[in-house]
Amino acid sequence: MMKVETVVDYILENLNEKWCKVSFDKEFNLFYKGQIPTAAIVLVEGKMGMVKRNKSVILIKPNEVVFIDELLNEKMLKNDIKVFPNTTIYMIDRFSLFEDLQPTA
Amino acid sequence: MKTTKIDCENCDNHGDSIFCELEDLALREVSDQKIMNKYKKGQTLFHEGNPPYGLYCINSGKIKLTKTSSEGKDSIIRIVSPGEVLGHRSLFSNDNYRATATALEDSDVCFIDKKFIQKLIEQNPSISLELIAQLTKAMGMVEDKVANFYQKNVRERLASLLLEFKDKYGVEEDGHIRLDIKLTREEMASIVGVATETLIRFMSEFKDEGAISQKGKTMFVESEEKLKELGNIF
Repeated sequence: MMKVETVVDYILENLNEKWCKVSFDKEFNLFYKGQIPTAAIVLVEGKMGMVKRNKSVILIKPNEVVFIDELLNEKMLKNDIKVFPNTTIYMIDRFSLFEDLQPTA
Repeated sequence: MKTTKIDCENCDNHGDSIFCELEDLALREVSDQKIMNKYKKGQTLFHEGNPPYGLYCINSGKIKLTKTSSEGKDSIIRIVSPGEVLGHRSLFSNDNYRATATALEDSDVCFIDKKFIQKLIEQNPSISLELIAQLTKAMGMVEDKVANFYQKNVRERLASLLLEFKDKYGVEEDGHIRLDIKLTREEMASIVGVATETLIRFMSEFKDEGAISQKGKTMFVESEEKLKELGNIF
């Protein structure tokens, strides 16, 4: 199992060079509850959050890597993940991480 | 909703997909790398205008591709079935997604990273040929659809669509053919390219002619010959 801290450092150091930048102009469900995320995310601008009980949204902090554990270890998300208008994120793919990083104990 | 991951070697669509020519080792690699998720009816896989970061392979269910007009109206441009892939055109053209992909019914979908696909193609050029075959087939269908719009009237377009559904989704049942696809009238109207009221009128006509029948939301083809006659297809 990969060490999460190593992966997070690597992601943030290579944000502009390696990862796919995506902007949203409308509200959109990025992932759904019960799904394995297809990318880890870094929020750089705007708002993104976890939807609880179809109502309240717990906002995700910017400039932090989220869903890395779920992505690397194929764990299901516990909530819908929503992005709001005028939001920009980086999407971090699993293959690049597996290729570039050495697994650690 | 948890989806049990199905290995590519054991997939029902193995033989229909772009990965069907891969050797066991490469197929195992795809199996290990992919992420499989269930999308409930109405859930969105990707949104028109977003950049692609992977390829989607449909394991079960149906996905509709829609484009939104400047007035905010959605039109279905294609329905994707098991074994087909999604997002490949944008992936290789470096273009953003040109349509929104939404589950028409509960669907199991495999996602494969763009970078992995690129590496896979370098090592297994046969995938390129399979992709070209799928793209060519899709292009042919689009050309036929464009020709239909110019050459066929509404009645003929609707009959052609129902015959296409019969071929793709038809299930023989009690002497008639049940169409294993559920679309709203608005969705069907958008595919045919008419107002919903016009579609309803022609559907009633087809029922009166004995070409089709309906039980709730389920449609049945009662007479293929009648549909061909209505569609001026020989």
